[in-house]
Amino acid sequence: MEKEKGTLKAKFQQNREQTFRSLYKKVFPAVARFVAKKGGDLALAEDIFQDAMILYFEKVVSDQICEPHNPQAYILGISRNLFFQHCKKNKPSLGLESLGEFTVAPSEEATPLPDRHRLLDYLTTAGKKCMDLLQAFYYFRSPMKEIAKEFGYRSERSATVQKYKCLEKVRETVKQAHYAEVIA
Amino acid sequence: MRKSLHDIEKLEAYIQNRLSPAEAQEIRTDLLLHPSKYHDWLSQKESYLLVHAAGRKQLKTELQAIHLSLVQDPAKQKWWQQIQAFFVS
Repeated sequence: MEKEKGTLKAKFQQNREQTFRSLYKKVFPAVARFVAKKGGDLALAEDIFQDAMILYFEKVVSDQICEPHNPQAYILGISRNLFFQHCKKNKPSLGLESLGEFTVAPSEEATPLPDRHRLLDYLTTAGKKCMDLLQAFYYFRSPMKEIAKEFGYRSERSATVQKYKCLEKVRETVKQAHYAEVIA
Repeated sequence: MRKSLHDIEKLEAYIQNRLSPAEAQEIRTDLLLHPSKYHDWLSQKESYLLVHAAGRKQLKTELQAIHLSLVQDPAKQKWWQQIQAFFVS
């Protein structure tokens, strides 16, 4: 795995499923053994491992991990932290929000924002195409060239313009939801 | 690209700390003087968080599907049994 340094990000971008599948086969046994030793069950091991993979993916695609690194050790380290966090909070389920970076700091929220989960459900159904495009760029960090190809735009420029149109649409939905809450 | 999209692009650069100190100061002043722009900024930041949350949700679904396909794969039975054995007390 160490020989794959510098290419893991590209692998995630080129074939995410295959890359995750390969990591799953290699790393999950070690995480499961750790959770079992600590008295956790298989469902908890799965949940923790998947959340650790999400954090690992985010770090790789946003260049937050120094190369070279050992993916197995890294994912196991994240899993340990998540397990201890889980024990500390004694939560029955981890939930994706506990991964962090999802909440807005109180100082940034001058006024209460609309129910994020409800809004998310609405956007991922009503505005699915836009959300898919925005996710591809901002979350999965796919190159704009690939995004243009995948979403059927003639050029990177067209895809970029569409990205901002989608962002504008989502921003308006957020504003309207906020306004509806304020007047309710 | 129309002006409103350029404004979104610039606000994005501000949110991502990609502007020069002078440009950033200009935006900060705008946000203080114009409540509508302040709400644009707030909503845009919230939009990125929503996209991030949607991405995580999608990734979790993909990982659950990978898990299921591995445990149901006859060729991976030995691998799966080895994992299950950790939890047998």
